[in-house]
Amino acid sequence: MKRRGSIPWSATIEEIGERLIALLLVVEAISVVLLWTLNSYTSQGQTAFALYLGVDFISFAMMSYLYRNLENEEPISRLLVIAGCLFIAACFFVGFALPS
Amino acid sequence: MTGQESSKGKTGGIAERLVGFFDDRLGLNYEMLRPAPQYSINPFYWLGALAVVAFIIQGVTGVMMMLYYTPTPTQAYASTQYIFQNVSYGTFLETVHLYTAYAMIMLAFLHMMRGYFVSVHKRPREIMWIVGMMMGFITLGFGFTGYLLPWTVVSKSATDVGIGMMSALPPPIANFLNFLVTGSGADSAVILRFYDLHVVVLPAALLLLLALKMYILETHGVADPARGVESLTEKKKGLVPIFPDVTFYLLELAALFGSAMMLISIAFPINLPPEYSPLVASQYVSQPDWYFLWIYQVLKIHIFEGPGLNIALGLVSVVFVALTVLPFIDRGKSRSFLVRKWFVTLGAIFVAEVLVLTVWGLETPGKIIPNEQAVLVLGGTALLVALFSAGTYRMVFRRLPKTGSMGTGSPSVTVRAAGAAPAVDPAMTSSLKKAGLWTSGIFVLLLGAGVFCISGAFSAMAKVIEGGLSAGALVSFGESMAGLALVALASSYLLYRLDLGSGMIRRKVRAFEFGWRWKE
Repeated sequence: MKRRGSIPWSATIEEIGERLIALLLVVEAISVVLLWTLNSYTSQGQTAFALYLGVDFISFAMMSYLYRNLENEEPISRLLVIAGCLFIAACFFVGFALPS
Repeated sequence: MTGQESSKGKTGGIAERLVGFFDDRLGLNYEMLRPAPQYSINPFYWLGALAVVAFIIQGVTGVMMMLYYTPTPTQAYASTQYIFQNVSYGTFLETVHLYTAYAMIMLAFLHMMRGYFVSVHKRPREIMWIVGMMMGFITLGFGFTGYLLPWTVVSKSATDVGIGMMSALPPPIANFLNFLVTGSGADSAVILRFYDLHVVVLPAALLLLLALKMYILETHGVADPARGVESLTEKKKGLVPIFPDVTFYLLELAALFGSAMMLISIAFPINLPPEYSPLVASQYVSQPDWYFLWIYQVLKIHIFEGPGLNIALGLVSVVFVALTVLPFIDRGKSRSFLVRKWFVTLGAIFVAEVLVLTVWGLETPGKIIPNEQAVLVLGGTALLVALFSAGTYRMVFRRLPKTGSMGTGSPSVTVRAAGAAPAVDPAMTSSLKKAGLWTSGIFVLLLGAGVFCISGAFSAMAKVIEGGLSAGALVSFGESMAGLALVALASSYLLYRLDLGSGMIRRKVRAFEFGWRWKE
């Protein structure tokens, strides 16, 4: 049975754009929270800070890009969205993998 | 605001009333700024804006470092070391500050060269160009004054080289500059003046010039593309409001730039070199930072040693003055690069020489350059670029329509031009544009690679002339020639691909013609 509000696999990025913006907002909030948990004196802490701040910036850029294109009813580049998501995932992965 | 509107604001929700409060007082919804054309939603139009973003990041990180820094010869290094070791995110602050400074210089250079090639300096934007050049000089001033402040052996030695170069200028200019940056000449006076210039005088001057440039930009609008607006689609000619479209686009670029700076800072963290002392300095080669290296490399040519230094400085000054007064030199009416072949070729030679001199300077720290080698490398580079440019104009650009006039970028002109546009399939235009961008990008890369290979070959030949035949020189020459062969092969293939669409070269070159007939 199809759940109400679920997204079909065939959905385009334009169709799920608003949900993606909400998701990116959550990612941005998580990265900001993580920024406050770091040891600011160690080199690992500074590296993680730069990574999470990078995630913050990229999330914002993606949100802005999606919003602009959805508002103007312009096509959204899947390549850019996927590259952005991969970048965010990679930054989080490296950030979590750093020795504390 | 009318009474009716005010009452509407009062009856809305809290958020609406809050927005209404600020809108009434700040005029957020007023149309203060002119809309921008859709074609300007392109990173190349905002290189200067990104340089300003870099300036803002530097301002923020710089103010944080100012809280701990002491501008005295005895305390400068210790306070910088304190920032690195004891301040929260201190190393990160220092690294980001340095790399955004580099990025600002690079973006300012790219912004200038893009403006040069698409000739934005023409009427009515002459003053805007001159103001931009002044801002570029101030950006270099930031680099020069900021480099000394950590008082490391590298920065102090490099600054001494710069101050020495200033002393060789004509007496009135040298006296003024010495008064401005060195004062009594004592270390304490020098560092204090550099600090003052770096954190007060130069930022204030840059902000004033930025305000003037923004005013001129608001007056004339964004420049039309150099090829004219006729070839653009209706959609590209349309106007987009400053808010939210342009503002959000700029914020996207700024966020991407910030993110790139973060990653570069992680990948290449900086270490503080040893503190300056005459004894330690004697073990280091004095050399300016990379953005002044091309000038320094010119001064290192043997012929400019001693009294010839004035001539070298004069030559470099001529380049800077010529770039500043470019609007009054390049007075042709057309903005199209198809028409401005002399200026385009000169610009390409300038960029190639700056690149070659910088890389050469990094590879030969402290070495005097023999005259023959300088002639071979610099002359060879200029010759190669000139030949490439002449060939491109002769074979590729000759039959393209020479459009592109002095567009004002004003909405009225843009709207007027919209009526005369031919019907173009937007999908095809977009696809062709992408293909054109890729082709241009690959051409630029190949050109750069070709310049380096030919410079390497000339350099190896010079080594053979100087020191006789050696295995190292032969290997170096062989590598350069192999690289050049690869570049030539790749260029031929690219030209062939490019020609599949138009057939211009095929019609011109017999070999291609023969191949085409054989294929048929």
